Amino acid sequence: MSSSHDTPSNIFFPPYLLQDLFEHLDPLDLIACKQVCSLWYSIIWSRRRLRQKLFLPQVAAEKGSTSHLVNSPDEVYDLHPIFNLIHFDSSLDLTLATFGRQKCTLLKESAVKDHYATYPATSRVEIDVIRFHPHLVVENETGVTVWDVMEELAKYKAERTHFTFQTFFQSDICKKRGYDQHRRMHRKDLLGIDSVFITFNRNPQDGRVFIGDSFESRKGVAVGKKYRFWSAFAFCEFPLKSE
Amino acid sequence: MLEDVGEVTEAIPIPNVNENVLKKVIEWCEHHKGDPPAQADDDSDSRKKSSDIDEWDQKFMQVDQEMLFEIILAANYLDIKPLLDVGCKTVANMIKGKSPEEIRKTFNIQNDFTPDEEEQIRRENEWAEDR
Repeated sequence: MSSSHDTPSNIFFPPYLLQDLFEHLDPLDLIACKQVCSLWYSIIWSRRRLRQKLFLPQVAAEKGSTSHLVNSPDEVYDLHPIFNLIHFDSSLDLTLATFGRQKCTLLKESAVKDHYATYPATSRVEIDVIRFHPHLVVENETGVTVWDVMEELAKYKAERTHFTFQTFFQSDICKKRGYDQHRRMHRKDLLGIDSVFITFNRNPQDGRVFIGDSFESRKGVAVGKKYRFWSAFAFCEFPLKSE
Repeated sequence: MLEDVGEVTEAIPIPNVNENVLKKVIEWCEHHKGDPPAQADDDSDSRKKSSDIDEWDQKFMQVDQEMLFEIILAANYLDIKPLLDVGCKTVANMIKGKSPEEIRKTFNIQNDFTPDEEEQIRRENEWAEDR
């Protein structure tokens, strides 16, 4: 490491070009860079675009402004990487859901709850929960945050659906499993019973696309660039396994 | 840049760029002289993906760190945007997937946070640690 022509420690990437450098990094790498040294930290914090790329909320001076929001059909949105970590087990209540090795309820105490759910931030995110079901729409006029999404998911889980067990599972499966065929389902029944995918979906009305490729690729999963929608929560499989 | 100067026979001084670096820069320019002019960077928001460095450029950038930074500096000084981009992408690729400590090691950067600051920053980012 210390041969005579080694780079002296005072030569580093010129600070005034650091922003150009950071532009080339995806959010998770930027998070690492933020922790490297105070210079890098302050550069990332002081540049609005970089801050947004990290899903960071607005600083006080910008509060109330909505100029950072992008609500465009042509935009491709990055999803906050936290959604990739959330495991919302089908048998569990949202309060027991986890991200990484921690409980989602801890998110409430964490700075990440105020992060924007998407980059660029947007005032409306539409989520597909379970095939055939109405979309879950999360709205926030100053930008949808991570916590907005979590809250809506929790509410959504408790709501009644328009389905009876029979319409959803057909009568033979109901019989096999002993469900009351004509009973109206709660969404949590669905989440509790079967395989569920929640996807941040291409919105059929305005054609918005959400992508999560830069986060997925961390795990060594090869993902195409044009990832149309992305399953944030892989509970168990869907459709039903035939028994 | 040269057009700005017009017809000159005098040497243009470039005191900030040493000979070896200038040779590299010229080599790069020679290779890329036939390239179509770069799209004007109209959309500042366009996502830059650092993976797409062409093969020749990747080889070209296989130099020691000092040279790499010198090339980037020279590209900036001489206002050669595409070369600056390639340089930044190369450095970005060196950062990708690394932890803060690994990044410091790679670039020989001093961790100058106080323990308190470090704790605070760690808390800001703890959600991302478990991935």
